[in-house]
Amino acid sequence: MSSSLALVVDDEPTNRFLLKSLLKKNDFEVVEATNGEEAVEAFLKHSPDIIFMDIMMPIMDGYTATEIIKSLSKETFIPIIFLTAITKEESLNKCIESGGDDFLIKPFNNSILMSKIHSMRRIQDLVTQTTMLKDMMQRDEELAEKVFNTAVTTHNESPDSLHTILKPAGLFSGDMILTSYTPSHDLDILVGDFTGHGLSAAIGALPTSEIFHAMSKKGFTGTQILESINQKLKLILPTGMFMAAQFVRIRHELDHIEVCNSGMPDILILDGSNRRIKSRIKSTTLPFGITSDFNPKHHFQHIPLNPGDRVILFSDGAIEARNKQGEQYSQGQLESDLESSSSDFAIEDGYNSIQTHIHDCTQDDDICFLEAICSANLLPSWDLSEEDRQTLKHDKNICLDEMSLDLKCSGERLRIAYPIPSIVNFIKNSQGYEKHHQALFTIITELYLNSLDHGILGLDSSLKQTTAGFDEYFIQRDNRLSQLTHGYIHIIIKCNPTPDGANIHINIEDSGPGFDVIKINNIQNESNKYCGRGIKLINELCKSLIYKGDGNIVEAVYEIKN
Amino acid sequence: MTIEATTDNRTATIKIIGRFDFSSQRDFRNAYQGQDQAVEKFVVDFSQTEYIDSSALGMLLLLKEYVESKKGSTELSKPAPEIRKIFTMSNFDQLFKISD
Repeated sequence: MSSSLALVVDDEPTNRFLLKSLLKKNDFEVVEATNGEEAVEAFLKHSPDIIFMDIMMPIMDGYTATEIIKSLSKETFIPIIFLTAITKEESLNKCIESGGDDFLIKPFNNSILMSKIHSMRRIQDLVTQTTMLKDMMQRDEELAEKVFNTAVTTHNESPDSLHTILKPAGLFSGDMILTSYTPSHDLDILVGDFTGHGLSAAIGALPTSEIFHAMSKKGFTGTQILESINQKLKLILPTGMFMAAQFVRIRHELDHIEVCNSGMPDILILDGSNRRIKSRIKSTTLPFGITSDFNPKHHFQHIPLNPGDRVILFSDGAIEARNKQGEQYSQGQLESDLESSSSDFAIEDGYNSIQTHIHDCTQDDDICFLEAICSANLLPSWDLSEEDRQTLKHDKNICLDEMSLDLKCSGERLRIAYPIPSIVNFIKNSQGYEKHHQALFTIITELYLNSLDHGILGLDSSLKQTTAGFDEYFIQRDNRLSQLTHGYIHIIIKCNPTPDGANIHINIEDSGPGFDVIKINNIQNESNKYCGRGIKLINELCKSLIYKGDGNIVEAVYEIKN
Repeated sequence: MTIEATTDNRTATIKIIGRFDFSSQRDFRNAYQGQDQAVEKFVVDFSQTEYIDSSALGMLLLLKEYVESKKGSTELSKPAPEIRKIFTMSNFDQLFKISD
């Protein structure tokens, strides 16, 4: 044990001498002070490991000196033991009140003094350990923040019509917001609430974000994305940790959303004209990472909306925010504030109300809000930007040589096949192709789904005219698809080079009786709000679009010009 | 927060009084792990629980895992309306029996 330094403070030289001898016999180095003021100076100059303090001294007494020294040594533990002849209870209590750690009444027993010193050493060890752990924790939290800010949210999209508010309760938030565009320009949104904060939240956030962004950009369905996320979290998160989440896919046609709520507060859709709540989607499944038995397919809902409507998501921190009296803010209050809001974004007003409610109380839980106004500027444009054109021009890897792909799915394969991401990935052969990749994805998806829904499953789009009918349409679709046993869809894609680029021919034939695409999609009927936008877009993107045969064969041509 | 654990026949009742949150971890775990091997049914009594947060839900999942390894059953009883709302939102009624 290396020698420790003790500071002995007493105005009586004899007292100092006696204590000094005893301490030196026990391997202590000793410095002395004759009053409180000298004690503070000696503390600053010599940094003793332990201090013995008398109470009654001229110039500055022991109590004051102790208060000062303790305030100067907040980061480390320097024990101060009072040695005093005073036996009055008040005076002894004041020793501890002023910051001292123990006291001994003179004349004192030498071996008891040594025992007390020993005990102080134990406490010192504890404090050193705790400080080290605190430092480690701090480093971990800083790592978590870096991971969160870069890896997790760096690929998020932030269009003007999307507004988010993220207010952590502590240094870091356990709430996470992810956004991404699919190749068809749908907007995927995931708002997640992890148990815990800091590092324990980041551990789940990292893989969730990777899976979400990668799969969304490749055009996978919402069901596929959530199933993958659940599997991953079930695998890596320990029991007791999970992620509650809201997932919304705002369709590029801006006519409906696909939505799944797993353990979070209601998702709200506000009417674009008067901000009244027109739809609410309650939580229907367990949070992610709890059971591998998770089938989001059964919990996805299709909710219609009109352009201008607002989709609002928030985590439970908003509703549970408490004021000084311990009263929670409440869902009803928040909804009323959102409906009567007047700011550009309703959630600004909602958030301000919560702040007023909390006042100067500490915030209990992370608060997060997201609002998406479903207008055209929420989604990317289909036009090639100047940047896109330049990238295309300078990409040496674009190959537009001849290519053809022939794919046929029949019978029960049609239930589970969703070949679009794979087909389009095959056609796409360079980064510069991005905008074309998105257009092709959108065209092939729309035409394939038309063939499947109307040609094979015989579904009628007119069901989608009412809110109830909308959901009914998709329920019928699920039922018929799960019972499908025969029929086929045959896809042929050819890339034919032209003098200034290439033409992509897309030919899709289904075994159904044929359908009238105009009638089915009610294109000419303007009063029908929910149908037709999909096929209208395809018409615009393609060079030509014709239905042949009995209406069960469609031929589209997409032009790439260099 | 305090925890009262009682055993009757082969049922252990763990009553949580006050706030059930992150700081309750150790006490809660000791309460169920300390039960006799013969206990088959675990009832968590919420009648005097003021508040639960997501870490409390996590602790219930840990309890469920523990009880299942002993081939027993769990039940969440008498939650106040506010707490029941949290169970409903998290769909914990799909995992636990919830009784009044």
